[in-house]
Parts: sequence; structure tokens; C-alpha cells
Amino acid sequence: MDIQILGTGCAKCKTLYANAEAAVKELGIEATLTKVEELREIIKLGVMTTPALAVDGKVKVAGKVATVADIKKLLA
Amino acid sequence: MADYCASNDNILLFSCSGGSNVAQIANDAAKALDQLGQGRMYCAVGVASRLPSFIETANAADKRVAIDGCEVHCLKKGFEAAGVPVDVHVVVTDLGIAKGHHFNYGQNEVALVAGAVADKLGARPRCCGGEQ
Repeated sequence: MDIQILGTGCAKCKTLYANAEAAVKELGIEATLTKVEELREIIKLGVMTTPALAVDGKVKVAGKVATVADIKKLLA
Repeated sequence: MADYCASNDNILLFSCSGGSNVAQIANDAAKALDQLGQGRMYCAVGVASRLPSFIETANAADKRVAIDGCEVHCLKKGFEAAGVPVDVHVVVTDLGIAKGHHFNYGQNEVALVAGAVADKLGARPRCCGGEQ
């Protein structure tokens, strides 16, 4: 599973990354976590509000910081 | 503190919005840049029509970005006629996208144009209220 955190490096993007990292750890699943900070790549995925989270190339959350619990539900 | 990206209101984004793919790519790129906090989209026709309040707002910006669809440069010419300077000018067809009377394009083309604008602006990415 590939999890991408999309954002230009702001505090909320970092929080979302940390939440995703915690969710993966708590679920005990195999996942690759990547930061996508380049504007072109963010727009290619159709994201207009950051931070955003994509799983296997599909945007699941945009424009808010999902909690660890929210991300666990998405990944389960 | 908002959950959404804040706009950089000192940079105004103007785009072509004509009847071709390249025009609508320009428009979508401006929308994306606005929503991702790179500037604020503003009414190009209002400026090109020389409406005083639009010209005043455009002149008050730190930077004005014009995204033209093709080599006709309607937007840039309209601004020149209105006496409003263009600080960053990007032309969609100059980026290798052929003009056609159709609207078959995807996010890759929009991203290419928006990325070219961001490169020329040299602006630090802004997100979520400008926090880094």
C-alpha cells in the first residue's frame, strides 16, 4: 500500500504525515509513506486543497488534517 | 486556524478563458494556483474592459500573473491597453500543448501550466495559512 501526503510542507501537512505514520503503526500494516510537496504532482492528482492524503494514487482526504482514528478507518 | 490553505492575496492571477482547450487549461491552472494558496484569481475581463475598480485592484497587487492560452496573447494585450503591467506571463501553447477547439485535457496539462507559473513566480509554497 502506498500512502502519499500531499502538501507544500506546512505544519498541518507535517501533522497529517505523523498521523498517517501512527495509523500505519497501530494497524501493523505494510505501507510506504511518501511526502508529495511539488505543486505539479499535487495538481496532477487533482488536489485543490492541502493537506491531502492519497492511498494508492487515489485521494481520500483533502483540505484537512485527518486524525489517526480517521486514517485507520481509511486503511483498514 | 483554518484547515484550508490561505491565499496569497498580493499576487493576482488572471487567465484566458476562451473557447479552446488551451484557454480552459489556463483557467484551470489559475484556479488550482488560487486554491493552493499561490495567489488570488481575479477577473481578467474586468481589467481588459478597463473598468476603473478592476484596474485599481490590479495595480495595487504586488505581482500580476497573466496566463494566456495561445500566441495571440489576448490577455497580455488587454492589460497593455488598460495600462496594467503584467509581471509574470505564461502562454499555454509555449509549453508544447497544441491548441484545438475541444476540451479534452487532463490534470497533467493543468499541472504543467500551474507549475510553470509557480516556477516563474519563484514564490515559496504557501499552505494552511502560510505556515511552513
